[in-house]
Amino acid sequence: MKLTVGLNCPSCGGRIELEEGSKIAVCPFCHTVTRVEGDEGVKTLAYRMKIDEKLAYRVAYSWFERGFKARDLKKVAKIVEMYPVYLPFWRYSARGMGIVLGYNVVEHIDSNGNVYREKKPKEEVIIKDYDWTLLACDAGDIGVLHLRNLEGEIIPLSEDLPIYEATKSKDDAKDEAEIAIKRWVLREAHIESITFSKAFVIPRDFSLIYYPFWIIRYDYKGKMYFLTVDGVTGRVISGRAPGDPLWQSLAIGAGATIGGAIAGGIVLGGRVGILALIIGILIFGASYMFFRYGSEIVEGDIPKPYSSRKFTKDILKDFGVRI
Amino acid sequence: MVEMKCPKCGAPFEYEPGMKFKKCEFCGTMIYIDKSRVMFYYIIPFTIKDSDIPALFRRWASGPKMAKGLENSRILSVRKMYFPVYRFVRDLNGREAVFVKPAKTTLLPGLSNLKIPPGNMQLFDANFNPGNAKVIQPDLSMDTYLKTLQGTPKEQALVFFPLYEVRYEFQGKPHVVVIDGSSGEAFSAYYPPRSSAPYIVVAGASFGLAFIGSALALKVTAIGAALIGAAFLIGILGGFVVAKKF
Repeated sequence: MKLTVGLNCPSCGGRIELEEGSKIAVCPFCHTVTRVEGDEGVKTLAYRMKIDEKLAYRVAYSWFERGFKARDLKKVAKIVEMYPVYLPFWRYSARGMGIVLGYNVVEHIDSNGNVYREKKPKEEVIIKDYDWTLLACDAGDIGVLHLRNLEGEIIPLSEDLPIYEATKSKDDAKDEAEIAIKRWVLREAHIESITFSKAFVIPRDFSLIYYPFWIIRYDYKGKMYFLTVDGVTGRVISGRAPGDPLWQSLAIGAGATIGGAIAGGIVLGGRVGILALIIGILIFGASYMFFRYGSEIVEGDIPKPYSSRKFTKDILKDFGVRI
Repeated sequence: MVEMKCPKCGAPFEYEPGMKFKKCEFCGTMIYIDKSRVMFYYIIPFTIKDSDIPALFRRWASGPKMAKGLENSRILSVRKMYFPVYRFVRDLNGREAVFVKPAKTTLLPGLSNLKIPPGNMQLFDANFNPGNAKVIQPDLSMDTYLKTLQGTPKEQALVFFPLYEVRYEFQGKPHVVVIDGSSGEAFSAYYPPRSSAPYIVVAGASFGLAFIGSALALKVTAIGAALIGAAFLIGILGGFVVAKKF
């Protein structure tokens, strides 16, 4: 049983230079072009970490005071540990092309106040290049699934970087990429009602990229929370933080009152009344969500504590109704 | 360290997980590592410290869906272990497919959906020091899976990943939560939940009063305005009490 295979030019026997991920190798001696078959590798790249520990530290503290987090977070929170990691991402670069036909509805109001609705046919041909990325390992509680940034300095991958291994299938990622790019193409057309569409994805490049992050764990009143900082741009990508009962109560006080007052406009009757009711209930619903779940603030690609369907089910259950 | 040799010149090189191609440092030959007929042992080390566990538990237990006061539960025991799963990479009609299968029968929560947590995977050999964590030995053989899996093999590995099993007591009843020792994600089959009822009562009361107030305001402005004001006060004061205590 052989575990390692040396690669040689099948024509002259000289050693060939081969980049991982390439499908064609050119022999430097006899210039034979060889197609590489079998278990193809994936081109692997890494981005250079631009943010040092000190800067990441400052980013964390300025994040503590932003948003509806506990008011004393900046004062009380203590960073317990911080370490750099390089997370693996599949990157799929492709040209998305599509033909989209359909119509948008436009409303006109004439001088007498009558409303006319007009269907405006539209057809679009889209040709655009896209970059799609997906975390190549399980997300765990890190909260990063897609990259927001692809600008940065590329460095050779070295073995002493703190790299997290890619553990998911590259072909599953490719499938997901194509679905996502097709959806982007359709959206690019800005057509509300699509009657016909056809989208194509022409792959250009598929690679595995290692992207640096700082993982920062901090303690707040005996509880350990975390945040991740983008190692290239210095932005906070995800995190968990304690909320504050004050923000929660202000949210419900203002949201329920304003929502209720607007919804009360239903007495005006007609379309305006119905519209008032819907807007009022939406404002109320949003403020209720924050009131109920705002004791922990979650940012990034971390599963939210609620989904609207499960939410309704849970409410009914709390009042003893089962469905 | 697994030491491999260049098939051309015999020079040794060190293998790292995830490596598929390697250039021999001596003769420059490009080496392809064929993993289709061997099994590697990998391990993901702990990045969470033992001393972080109580604080991580309290963070999880104080989540908005957990019963109020759950974070003050008494921790009965913490077990630290490396748990084994098999990871198969197969070629299925030209597509790469990854299968993760249990290597040990277990009833621990979070292990039924079987995923390998993110981490800095290393080779697991005699040089690896598991420290105070117990390395759980597999009791399910890889062969049983190999026979049933579709496709042709590309790679197979036994992966040990780090976890903490935390047993705690809440209102006299014992419960268990598993915390992934690499990313800190918590898994549990059941935890005492928090009721939304008090939240809905306060929110509903405030909304209802404002609704009636606004509907009345067209006819009796003073009463309408008073009701809306009351709605705001109930929302804020009631909301504060509920958010703090329930």
